[in-house]
Amino acid sequence: MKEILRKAMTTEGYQDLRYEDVTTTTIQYTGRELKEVSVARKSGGHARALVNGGWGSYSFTTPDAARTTIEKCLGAARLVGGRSKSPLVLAKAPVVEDVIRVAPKVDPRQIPLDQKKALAEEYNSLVLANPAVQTTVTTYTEIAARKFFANNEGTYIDQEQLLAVLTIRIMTKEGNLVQRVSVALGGSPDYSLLEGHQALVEEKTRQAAALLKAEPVKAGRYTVILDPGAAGVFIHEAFGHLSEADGLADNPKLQKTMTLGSEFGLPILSVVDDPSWEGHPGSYVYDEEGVKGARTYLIREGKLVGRLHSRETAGKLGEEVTGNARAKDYSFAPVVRMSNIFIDKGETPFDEMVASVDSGLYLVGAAGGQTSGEAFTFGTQLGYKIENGKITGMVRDAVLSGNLFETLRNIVAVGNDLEMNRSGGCGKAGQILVGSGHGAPHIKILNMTIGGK
Amino acid sequence: MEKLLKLALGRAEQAEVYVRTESSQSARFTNGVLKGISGSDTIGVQLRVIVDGRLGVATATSFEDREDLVKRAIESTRYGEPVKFRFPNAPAPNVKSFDPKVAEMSQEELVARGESVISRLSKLLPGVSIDGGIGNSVKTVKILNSSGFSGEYSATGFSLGVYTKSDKGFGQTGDWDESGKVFDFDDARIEEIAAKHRAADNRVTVPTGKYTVVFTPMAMWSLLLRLVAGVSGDAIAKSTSPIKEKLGEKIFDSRITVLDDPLMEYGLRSCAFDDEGVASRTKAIVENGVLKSFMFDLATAAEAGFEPTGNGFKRALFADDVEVKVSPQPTNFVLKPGDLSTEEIIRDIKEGIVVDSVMGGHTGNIVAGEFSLNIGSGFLVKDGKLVGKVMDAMVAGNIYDVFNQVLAIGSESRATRAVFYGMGYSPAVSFKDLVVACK
Repeated sequence: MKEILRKAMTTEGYQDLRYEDVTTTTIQYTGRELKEVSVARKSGGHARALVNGGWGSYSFTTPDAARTTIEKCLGAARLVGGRSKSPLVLAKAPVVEDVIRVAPKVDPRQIPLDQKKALAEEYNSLVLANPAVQTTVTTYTEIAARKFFANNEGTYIDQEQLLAVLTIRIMTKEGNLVQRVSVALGGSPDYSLLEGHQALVEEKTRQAAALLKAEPVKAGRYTVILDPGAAGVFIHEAFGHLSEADGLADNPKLQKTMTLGSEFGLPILSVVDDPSWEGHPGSYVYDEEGVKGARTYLIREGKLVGRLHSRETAGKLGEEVTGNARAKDYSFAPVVRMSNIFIDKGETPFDEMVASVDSGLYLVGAAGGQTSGEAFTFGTQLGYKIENGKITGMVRDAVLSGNLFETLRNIVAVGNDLEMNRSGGCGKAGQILVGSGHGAPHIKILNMTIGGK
Repeated sequence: MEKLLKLALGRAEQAEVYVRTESSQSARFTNGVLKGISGSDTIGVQLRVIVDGRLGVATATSFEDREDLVKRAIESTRYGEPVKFRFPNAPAPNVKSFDPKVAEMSQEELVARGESVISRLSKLLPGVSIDGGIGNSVKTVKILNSSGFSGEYSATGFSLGVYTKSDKGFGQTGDWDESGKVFDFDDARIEEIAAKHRAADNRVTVPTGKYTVVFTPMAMWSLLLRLVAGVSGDAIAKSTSPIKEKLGEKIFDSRITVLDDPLMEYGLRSCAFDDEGVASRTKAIVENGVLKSFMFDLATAAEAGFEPTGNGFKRALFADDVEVKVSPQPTNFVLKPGDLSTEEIIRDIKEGIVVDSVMGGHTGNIVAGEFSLNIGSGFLVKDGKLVGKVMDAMVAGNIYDVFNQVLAIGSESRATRAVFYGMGYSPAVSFKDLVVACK
């Protein structure tokens, strides 16, 4: 592969080529029914060329098309580059030759399909045993990829990536009221992390059943405590996307808003992105530009101190590369994406945090979110009222929404109990990425807008 | 394809070969300047077989190893879902879904068309940062099955979007459209975008309360998506749909008619047959407020005891890939226009909110019809005029309530897109007394 990719490139401008073989194993139960057992194999490549500041990029299917695809990219890049006002200089990245192999404690690729199916079935049956459960969607997903990367600077990387995750969506129903709670297990290359979570799954099922008796949350402004699941999605949606530098590289006004050193929160708040933290959904060694992923502080003690880069955005802003150029698969050009983003551990114990709230909400688990830059929104799976420092009745259907800058400043307590998610999906630029990690300790936020009826 | 089908039928009772080739390219503009051209050429092959009444599937990105593909498909029937359907064989209609002008558009023309829109908007909004994207695509789907069906259609796609930024550098407003044929934003539409941008310069908050709320076509997907979920054969077969027992009953205001219309000329989801080879036909989902039809693929139709409706697609809300399992999905999901222009609808509002884009439309209890949406881009209306951009507000309700609170339905139908993928067409619709939560 090394020779095929290298021979396809020339010395004009910057060029790179990726080629991937991806095997995706899916086992899915819907209710009692086994809906899907599939092993899909895909392979394909992606080529890019940068000439005079203009990009051309195309994907292709077989390795022998690498050469002609590079030519197509060069044609497009010359057309774009001819109109560009400022030549673009990519940030320097070390030239490397490397081979990365994944060796988890228990390798899911070595586990027979029957055993994976039995595990999914066991969890699924456990949920269905609760009479309030209407249906389930229990899915085992395993993505095993071998990715090749070469550029015309001399870098060549052959790396494996592996992810096994089991998600269970629990739907309960009474009359016309349907409630959902989901739980995810694994989210790493290690199959053994999927096993032994029966108690957790039963607890989540009980919560989904209890939601049928919960009252709908009333719209308004609340002091809220978010659990690590909800807080992780919050930091991903509300702040993470804004720290992706492709949004501001060509946007001087946003650069000003995001001046490094600005106060973004109280000194208790620190936010980190780290692909090199092994065993999480967003972990990897090299990104899709052959740059090694590294730990990047985004907010340290309340001050904005960093952002996430591709070689292009780092070059434009005169900052160091961070290894955050990611692509869903070979159909797409890499864009700047978070890896594993989290709010760093603080000092407040959870009990103390709850005791400090006279009237508010404790919200648990995330149900998807979205951002438009400064505004964000996301749903939560379930919640409780907090009255006079105590967690009381259950509430349902809470959706949070707010302005990023205000909300970050309104984080007044950060817990001492950091937890990472086990599965995450994230959509940007038409690419929906499975490998997205996020996490947080419990956090307390003042004045949060909650939508409801 | 014939060889693969023959090979599979040596070992299976029924078989189907599906091939999709796609070729697309797009040009993107950042801060008014052409930034890059990208594209992709992909092929996906999927073999589905039925052995002992169980379905097996195998996917590949070439025909290179037929033997392996058949072996994997046969193996997977061991765990396959028991199915009661036969692959169909009915003649597919002729659908105008392919525009050679889209298919043959050069990079240069794509760039020139994009530049024209951006420069015209830029003239109306000097100093404002504008991003944009323009793209063309061609997709060909071929299906061959053991019941004798052999079909092929090609569909083109053309899309155009522009987005303006605020003085802080965040998204302020935008517009987007998609079609099977070439189109342009005319000067009236450019002026409309500029007017929205200017109105959004004034940022306002509103007290929490009940308002008349207008959803523009760009925002309507979020409500229609909940109807899609409610009439999906999956929700019917699983009994999670709140309207499962309501066929023939009035569920919405009698002015509401919704079609699933794959036969529309050059629609963004027009097609001759679905991804299982079921011939396309147009059906009323809701007609004058009365629930008329659900949307089924082969499996859910057999399970629920209905006829397949030609809605089986290898697609999901966030995926459009050959390897995605077939499920009931809309084609062109169309809310039929009424008789008032959007301007006229707004003119009659004393105090209300125009919702032009939403966030969070893909979250919450969708199948139950519930929505709780962040108003991404919304305008406060006072005495019939847009007076400012509503900040930090959410609108919530349930479609089975709010489609009975309809005040007016607009006359201009436009494409509407569910987060990433186009899902149909809608005019603007205004609703009475929706709950808006703000500061």
